[in-house]
Amino acid sequence: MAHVLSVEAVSKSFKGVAAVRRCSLELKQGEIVALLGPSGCGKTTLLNMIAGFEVPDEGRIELGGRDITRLPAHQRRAGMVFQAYALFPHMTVRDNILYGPRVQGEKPGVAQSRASEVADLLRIGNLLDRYPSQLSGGQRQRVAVARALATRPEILLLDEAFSALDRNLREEMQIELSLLLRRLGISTILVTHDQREAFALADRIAVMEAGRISQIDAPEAVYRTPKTPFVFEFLGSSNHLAATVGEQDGTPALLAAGGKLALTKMPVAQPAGSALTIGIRAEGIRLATAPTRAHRESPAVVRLVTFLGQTIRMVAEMGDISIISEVAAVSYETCPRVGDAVFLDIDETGVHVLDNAVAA
Amino acid sequence: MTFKLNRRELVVGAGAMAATLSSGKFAQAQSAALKVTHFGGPYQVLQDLVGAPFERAGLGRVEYEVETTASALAKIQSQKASPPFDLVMMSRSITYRAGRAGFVAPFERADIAALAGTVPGTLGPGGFGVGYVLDTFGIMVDKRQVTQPMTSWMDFWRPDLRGKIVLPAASLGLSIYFLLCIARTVGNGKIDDASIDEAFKKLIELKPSVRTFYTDPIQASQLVERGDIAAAPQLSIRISNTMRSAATVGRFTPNEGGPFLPFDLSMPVSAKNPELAKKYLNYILSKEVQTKLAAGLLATPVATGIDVPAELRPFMMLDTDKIWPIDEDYVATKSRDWTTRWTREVQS
Amino acid sequence: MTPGTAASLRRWTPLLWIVPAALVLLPFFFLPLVLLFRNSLNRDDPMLLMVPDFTAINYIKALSDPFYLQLFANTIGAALFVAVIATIIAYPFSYFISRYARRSIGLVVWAVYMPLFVSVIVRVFGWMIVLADSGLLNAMLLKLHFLQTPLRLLFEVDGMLIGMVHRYLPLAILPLFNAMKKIPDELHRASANLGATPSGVIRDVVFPLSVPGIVISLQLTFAGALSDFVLPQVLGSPRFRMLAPAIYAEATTNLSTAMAATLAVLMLVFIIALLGASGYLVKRLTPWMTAR
Repeated sequence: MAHVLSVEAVSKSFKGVAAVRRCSLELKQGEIVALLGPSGCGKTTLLNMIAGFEVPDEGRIELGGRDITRLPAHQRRAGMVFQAYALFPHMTVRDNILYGPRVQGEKPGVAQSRASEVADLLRIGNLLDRYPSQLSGGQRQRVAVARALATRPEILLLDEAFSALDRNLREEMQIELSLLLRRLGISTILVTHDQREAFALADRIAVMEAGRISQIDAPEAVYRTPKTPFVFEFLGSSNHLAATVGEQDGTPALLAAGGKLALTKMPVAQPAGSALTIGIRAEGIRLATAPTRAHRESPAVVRLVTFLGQTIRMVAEMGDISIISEVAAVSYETCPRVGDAVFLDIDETGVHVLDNAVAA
Repeated sequence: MTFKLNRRELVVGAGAMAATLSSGKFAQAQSAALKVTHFGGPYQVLQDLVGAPFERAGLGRVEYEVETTASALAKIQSQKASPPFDLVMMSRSITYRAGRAGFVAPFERADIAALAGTVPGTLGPGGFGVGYVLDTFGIMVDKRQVTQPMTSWMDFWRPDLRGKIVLPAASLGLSIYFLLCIARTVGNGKIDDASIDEAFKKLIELKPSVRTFYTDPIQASQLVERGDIAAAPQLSIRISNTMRSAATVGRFTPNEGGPFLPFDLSMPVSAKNPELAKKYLNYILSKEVQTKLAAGLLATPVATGIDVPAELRPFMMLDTDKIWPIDEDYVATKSRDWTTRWTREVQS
Repeated sequence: MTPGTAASLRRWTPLLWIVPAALVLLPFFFLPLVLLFRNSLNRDDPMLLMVPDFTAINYIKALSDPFYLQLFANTIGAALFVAVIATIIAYPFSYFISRYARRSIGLVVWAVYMPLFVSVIVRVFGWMIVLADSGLLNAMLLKLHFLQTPLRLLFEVDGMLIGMVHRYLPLAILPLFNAMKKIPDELHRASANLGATPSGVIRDVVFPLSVPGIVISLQLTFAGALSDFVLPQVLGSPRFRMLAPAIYAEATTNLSTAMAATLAVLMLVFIIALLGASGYLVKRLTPWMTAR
């Protein structure tokens, strides 16, 4: 099947500093892909090259089967929703939406019907005569999306499009937009540093680090089977522990926290005695009142219990090591209290070897 | 209607406010010194030639301030009750009108003994001012362009000068002087309404010859010096000073002569040091000071029998026979009309 | 003190903030204006200078005499010309520096400000050297055989207008630059993203959003040129009379203080009317700025 968008080994440097290094990406019709990463990872530069605001130093970009690598922005059919929405302050909502069809030479009748169509889709029909300064944040975002859709773009680009909204409104809009984009079958790339946003909208997530795409996969795959330590660290909250390769009751094991923790189900490739760092997600550790397979002696002490709504976060100290554990809130009544002595119960399928060096 | 706020009260009101902050109060605080205005520029030499020796002679201390005729008049008008100066330097026609309007006090001939040794007219009409420097009007030329002598004011109408002359703008009193020169020439020595009308007719004919109208006398000097124009009616002292610095510049004094244009010192009413002012005037009219002023300013002295150093004579206008007096009353009543006509009929 | 009076006193305390300005403006700005207006109702006399009176004769004369009407027409025409030309020259320049002069912006803006620190007299003498019949410009054009006879620029309307455009150009650039700098980069991109060509971006986004800057540019340059004294006096043609030197000449040469005051009042009224009109115009052209 032909791809709507294909980005092939694209690179871009600014004044000798590489922002994007040989990134490749393909988008199927109707697919939503998130570019996820911390600020400065190159995700916005990659998006700008797709939109035509930057020209790649090397590589090639195709949209709808045509090479657009060096095509000026105004000749591409990539509709963008900007971080601050970039609504034209001197135009009413109606004129903002009509602007794209107008400058693309659509007949007034066609432009008008497109405008009322997208206004209906985004439920902003009552705002058409207002100026952007008269709108709330959520309304502005709807207008920005409507304006981008009114040009019938081959691809929709969302640049941190939800970051200006309050959390509740943000989640509401994410759901609404996710449903809308799927219903309309619009191929979309969204750029975000917020993993919840990426998970809420995307079919696939491309995690970016230092100009490279570290992993591109379905949301559950990047979360559960991160291919690099960076992907593991960037997603979810996690514990880092120094460990050595040793043995426990005659079987090879990873020994952490000075041997108090023994992980036996881990496949270990390194020779005995190697020092390395392991990562365990917070929800991969339960705090038990009785000794567990991994943690038999020297109980840890609970220092903090925080109720977060859907989950409970607990912090336990074991010597000078702090451990974070996150469990479902339904167990709030039965979970340990501050000062309780606890043992760590570790779900070893969620343990990742991160590094050969000792954690700091 | 009982609205009786008159001009004087208004003007005094505004002036008093300014005066409390500016020179007025300070002037009172040190009223021992005589405050005298001059036009700046070459007149800076007054301190060395007059002020310093006056003080050395134990006659009193003099402080000079730079004012134009217009600014000096504005200040003595607005600060009439407490004028910032004891003696103001203004052109005679303005001095006369300021006197008639009650802003400067008249002098008696007996007040100033040295008037005895001066040319007639040194004490202005009504006694309102004493001329201490004499100027007149002459023709300033670029000698490279004007090879034939200009012997008459009517030589400005010569075809070879077409587009190469400038005249004073109406905004300068000099336009009136030039008008008087032309009227006296066409009226065979008489200046009256008929000869003025005739002069305007001639001037309108002259319009195509005029490159521009100068709004500052220095513009005329610069244009002649650069050779942008060939000839200009100009104040005599200005011609003298330009000739001294530029070899290409020359002077012609028309046979019809030029007007008697003294620069007057007059005393505002309510001046604080009237006796010292009279002493100063007596001093500045003395032969000794007049000799120094003539050499320092290249001005025609008002005192008679003054010897001018031979090396300065070529630059100076010493032909006092050719200077004729002006009827200040007639000029004062008519000059606004003339200025208006000049603006509308000549400078248009 | 009862609570009631304390509360009513508190309501007035914010007014204390304007006391220093009022102390300066009332005696030194407002009162002189009142005196100016009062003077304009007096009568000028050739011998007695200004005579107290209460007459509209000066206004009638100033507004009916073709000579004064020509004076107003000259002044407004020249000021309009200078305002429009300076704004037209300033517009692309301001756009360029607001968009492209990223690192050198400080230097460029300084260079724009720079002439404002140099006395206008110095600049005028500079222009005299350039514009004279035997000046730099003519010498160059003659040498290159573009001309047979020198152009007459100095002491002509042309020279005055050149000098004025130069004098007021910074006042045209700064508000435009300011207005354009405030247009977010994202709006340029959004416009291009929706399909507008580079010239379309300028037409649809930059121009309408810079309208307030354009109006301020026009206002500042117009008001400056309208009330300019030095350039008409020193570079201009005495045949083409301008208001400010004419007021000065009325007051000094003609000793017609009342007429001078009348012309000054009329100039002030005109400038106030202009500011009001342009304020209204901005409101009409930029409805989005006041929409709430």
